[in-house]
Amino acid sequence: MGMGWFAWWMVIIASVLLIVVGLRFTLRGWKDE
Amino acid sequence: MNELIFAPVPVPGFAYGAWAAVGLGLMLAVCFAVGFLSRKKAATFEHFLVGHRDIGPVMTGLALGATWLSGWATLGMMGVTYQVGWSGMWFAGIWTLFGIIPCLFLTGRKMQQYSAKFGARTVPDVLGIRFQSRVVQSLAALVMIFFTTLYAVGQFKAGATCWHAVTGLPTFWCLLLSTVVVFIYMIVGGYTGTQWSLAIQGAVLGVACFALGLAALVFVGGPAAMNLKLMAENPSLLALMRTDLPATGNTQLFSHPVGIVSTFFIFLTMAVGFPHNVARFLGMRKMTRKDMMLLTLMVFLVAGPPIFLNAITGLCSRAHFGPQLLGLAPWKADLAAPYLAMAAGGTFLSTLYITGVFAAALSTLAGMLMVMAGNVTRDIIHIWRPQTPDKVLLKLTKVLLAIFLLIPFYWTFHKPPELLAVFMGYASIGLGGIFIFCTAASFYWRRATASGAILCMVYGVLSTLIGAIFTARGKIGMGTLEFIVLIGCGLCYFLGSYLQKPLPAEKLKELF
Repeated sequence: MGMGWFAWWMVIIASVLLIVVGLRFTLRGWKDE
Repeated sequence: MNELIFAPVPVPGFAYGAWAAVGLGLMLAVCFAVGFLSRKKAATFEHFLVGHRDIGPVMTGLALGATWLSGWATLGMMGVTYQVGWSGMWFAGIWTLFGIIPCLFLTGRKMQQYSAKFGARTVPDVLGIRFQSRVVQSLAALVMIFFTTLYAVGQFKAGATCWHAVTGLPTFWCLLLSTVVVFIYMIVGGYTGTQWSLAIQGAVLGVACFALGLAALVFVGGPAAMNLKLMAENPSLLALMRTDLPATGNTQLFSHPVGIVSTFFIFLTMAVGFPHNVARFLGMRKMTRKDMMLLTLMVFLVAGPPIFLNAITGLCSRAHFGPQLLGLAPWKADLAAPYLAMAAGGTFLSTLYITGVFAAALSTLAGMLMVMAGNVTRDIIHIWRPQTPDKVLLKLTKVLLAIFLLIPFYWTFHKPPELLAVFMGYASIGLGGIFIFCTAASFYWRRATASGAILCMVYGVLSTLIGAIFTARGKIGMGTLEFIVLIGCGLCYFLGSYLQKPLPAEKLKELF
């Protein structure tokens, strides 16, 4: 399939990881009032 | 060079143009209806700028997606991968979530708090409060106006390119059509319901880009077939870095490691730098954990999968049409997506897609114009001359909207940018380099002071302007420029902050 598609998928996976990790970090210690 | 025969370029026709007008008309009608419903509520100057601070996470998420994604995302990105192949992917929005997600996580809640706690109405207003400085507030307003004007030029070209694809009319008429749509949208009142209209546009552009990407891939015969066709035309279209292109100028973004790495940083800093993105949180209600999760999900849906597919759409267009579009001045590679929409999906897909482009361009323009007009009235006139009546400010805001609309129109007509994405890239480098520090870092670094912010802004504007000239002349690469601006802004901001005493402890306690 080529390097292009491989890189494309890698960035997508990294983006999803960013969201998961970022959300976890952001919500840590978050108190609803 | 080769005997390959590429598919003919679609012929514009009445049906394409008429359907595009119908699709656009429908979207505008919905936006107007929403604008009209919320119009009565925007009676005061404050409501005009931020609404009632009661907007929920779904609407905010969609609106944020809409202002983040502009004509660059819905049209310019395809132009980049069409022109250079896979190596264009880095600059063609593949880092989309690395831009908008940090913006959401780093600035979302803070902006909302500044709005609720201190009554901030604009982004410079927030900075003025953070640094306790009217100079910072007014300077930030000026910097934002300057760069967003550049960015607005791109929106006009995006709209006009679509009109050319479907109608085949000459440049002037396409630009005029594009401007008429923007004017109608602004004047009839689409902007008064900004957040709601933006949310609708976010949904439309997400669906449109997603549908076009999938249709394009099926149309060229799937992922492997697409690569085979590109290979047959020119194997370097498959390279992830095109070392055959010049390593200076804007091609550095595709040809050199410095350029490719810089694309990541351009995107990472850009969304935080865009005042029209960050301003979305000002009208939001107090956020709960669940709100934050919902907000993230909406942003992902609009700014994630549809934009990942954009790079692919451009490649499919190259596989299908070959290099033919590069000869069609002044639109050139930016025609890649509209023409493919016509070839792959006929009137239905092209109508959906063009509605999507206008949704993206209009939402970004509307968001930016509101920022520009609000910046002048609120952050420059009001703070230096507080006795100016509210009514005058509101009227002035509306007059300024028209003026700020005319400047980019004239510019686009006079000298349309060559490749849309590259042109808009300069504005992003400047805004991102400056405000990743002045806005985002200042929310977390207590020692930041007005002197640091002022130095950072002055350096950011000058280095971007001077650097852009050197880049255009091929003296340095566009990626090198990104690092010169970003690292320099960081140094000015951090070192400059130590030139002044920090804010008093009790003030800092209130702010943090």
